[in-house]
Amino acid sequence: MSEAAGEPSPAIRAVGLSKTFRLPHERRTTLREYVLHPFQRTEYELQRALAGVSFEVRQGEFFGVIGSNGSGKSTLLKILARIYRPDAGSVEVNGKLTPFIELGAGFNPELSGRENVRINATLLGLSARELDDRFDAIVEFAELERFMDQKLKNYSSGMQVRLAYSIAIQVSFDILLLDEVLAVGDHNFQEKCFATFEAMRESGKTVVLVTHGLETVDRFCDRSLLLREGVVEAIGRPDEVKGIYLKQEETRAGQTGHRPGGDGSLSTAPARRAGSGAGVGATTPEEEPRLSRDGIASMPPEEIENFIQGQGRPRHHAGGALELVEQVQERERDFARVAVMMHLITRRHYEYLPVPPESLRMRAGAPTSELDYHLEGLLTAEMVRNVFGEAPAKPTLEWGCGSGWTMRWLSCYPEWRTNYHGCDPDPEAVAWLSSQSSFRVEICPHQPPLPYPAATFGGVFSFDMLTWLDPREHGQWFAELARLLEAGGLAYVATNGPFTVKDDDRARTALQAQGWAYTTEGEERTRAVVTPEYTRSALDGLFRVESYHAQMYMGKSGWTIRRLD
Amino acid sequence: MRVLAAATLKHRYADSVLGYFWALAQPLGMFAVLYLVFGQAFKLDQSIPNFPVFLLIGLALFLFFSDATTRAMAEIVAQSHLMRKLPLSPLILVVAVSVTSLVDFGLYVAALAVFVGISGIVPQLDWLGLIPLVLELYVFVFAVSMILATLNARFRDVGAIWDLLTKAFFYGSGIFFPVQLLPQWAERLALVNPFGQVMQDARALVLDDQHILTLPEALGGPIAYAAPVAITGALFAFGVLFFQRRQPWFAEGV
Repeated sequence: MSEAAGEPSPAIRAVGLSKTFRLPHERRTTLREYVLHPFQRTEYELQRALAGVSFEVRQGEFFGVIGSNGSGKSTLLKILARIYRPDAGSVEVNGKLTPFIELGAGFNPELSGRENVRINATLLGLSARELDDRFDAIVEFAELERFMDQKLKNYSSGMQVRLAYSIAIQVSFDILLLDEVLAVGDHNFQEKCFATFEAMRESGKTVVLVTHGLETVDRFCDRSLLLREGVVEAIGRPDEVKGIYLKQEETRAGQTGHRPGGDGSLSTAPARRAGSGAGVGATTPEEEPRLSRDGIASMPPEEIENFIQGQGRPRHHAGGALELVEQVQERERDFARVAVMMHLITRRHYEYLPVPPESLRMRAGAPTSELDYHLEGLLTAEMVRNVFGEAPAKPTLEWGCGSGWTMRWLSCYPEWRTNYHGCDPDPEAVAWLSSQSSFRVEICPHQPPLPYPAATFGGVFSFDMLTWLDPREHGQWFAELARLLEAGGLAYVATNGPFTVKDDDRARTALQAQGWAYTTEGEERTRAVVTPEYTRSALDGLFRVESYHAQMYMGKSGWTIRRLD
Repeated sequence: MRVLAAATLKHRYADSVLGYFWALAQPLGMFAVLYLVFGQAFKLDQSIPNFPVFLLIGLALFLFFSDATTRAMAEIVAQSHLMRKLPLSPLILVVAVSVTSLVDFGLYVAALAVFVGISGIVPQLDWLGLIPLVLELYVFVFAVSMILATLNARFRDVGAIWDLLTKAFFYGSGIFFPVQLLPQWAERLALVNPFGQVMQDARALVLDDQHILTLPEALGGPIAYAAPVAITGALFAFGVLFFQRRQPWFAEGV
């Protein structure tokens, strides 16, 4: 990660893109119907294709877009290509953008290959002279020399794609949008295409690749974006995003009856090496043992022991509610993972579980028992370790440490004991923590500034602190965060999702005037939502977003951000 | 655009043995029928000098008008695969279609030239006046095309309605008979609309015949030209605005 000053302008900057298609139940496409039934209101089903999608593609970057069918990938691409107009939001493109939504647009089966090359190339913006110069290269790359004078309808589909791709790469561009292009074509030709990808990368082209082919994304993309039901689920390293995607697909498959080990007990207990450093949300199903929900709920301790592989961990917890946990933790180096899973299961948070869920929605909810607090602390501790590493080299602050639920789990790792700092607005919690431990804990006000000099910390993480503020104060909060961090410092911030403000029109108008997003639920309730783009606007100029994970847990979104110089 | 128009033409005639001949065969067949029915059976041939040329001028202009508008109307829907895949200005499609129709019109003009030759009419210098007339008609056609294409992207039965309207127009605007045969209100209507004005002026220029009623003769002198020009201009302005306004939604609608 370079923290170079004066970042070049991004190749593509998309801010808050939203698109809703109105699908009439019985579409009235004729005037006759309007004349015959002038007062009949057409009923529309609103299909939300995209909702507040924001991201940036840097110059020279290979950027993957993945997501299941209907997640909004193609709509996004068509908006970037300016084929569709977004309902809200904006796209800024720096450079000549060429879209290949479909290879061979304008191909006419009745005309010869030669004529089709001419038409297609012209539609893609190649001038007649450029085409003359490049015609031979096109034919040669497609390996269709012998077929150029045959009608296109006599080509195989593979040959058509070859021809189309060969034309496409002859068009000069700075930014290329590619949609699912390599689905057809033999292995040989795919490799040839991959070679052109390499060439594009070397010449500094920016490429946005929309695909189901995760291998392609892994192989070429610098970063990728996961869309889910029109919302950015995650942006970040392709392997991490892929992990989230696969998990999502797995739960989806589970819903349709593909259920591993559903006999009410733990069906398999594969040995699993711990400490891979992979985060809770970023593991692939192959790595994760398969459990069934019923199985884990009724699981006797011995089976848990069997399930767990590894060595002991320090014990830090007491209390009857944790009995089961305690039985295993002494022997379990990767205890956290199991505990997190149990937590997710008891709270019906199936997102990250290799189990078939009844519900995919993660529900926001306050912890109701001490066990819940412990487990939630455990969950966040693991996420923090995933972001900041197993041993933070620099002082790292937890802004809003509360009674230390996360801190206690983090301190299970000796590496985390030295550089950990905490602060919280609750004086009682801080006093209690100070009396119980030797951690450096401070009282901080709800509002900035915090009692630390500037650039004290190499890392800051904060869960739920923004919840206590009016969303309009978020900018101020992030400014304080930037002050606390040294240049290039990393922060991990969880923001809450929906934020109920007020239920009346005036509040709604005021919010609009502030320029931030809100949604309406039904007719009567207005919920202001701290949308990703709103948070992004609060971050803007201070931080660069390294990754973003919607629905991280309990309805929260996770932002990994790096302070700009 | 040029490539698109060429492709359309080529595509249209690629598989037919006689190629471009068919572009002519249909209007010539129509011409033959109209000539036999109205020229011979109804004896218009005797009351109108050079009736074949009279008829062919009207027919060529009408076919240009109806072909161009009808095709342009359907084009955006017909090319939906392009609209959804490429950031293509839909206006290009409309232009390509109208240019294609203009090429067809060139063929009709060639056929007309043959008949003019047969009739022994000698070309005059003032025939240059035909050029602004064709231009005026083209602008009118283009304006109507834009409006129809925009409507058709939303309402698919515009095609049927337009089909009916052009038929009514064909029978009602003196294409194969003198406009004087119409009741006065219809005669004025047939002369004041840009198409009728262009047609009658073109006939008057080519045939140089006092019997052909032109707009200024029927209605208050040369100032009457303001009406068809204003109609054309207004339709064009409206067409451009309407088209531009709806254009962003074409890709979704088709």
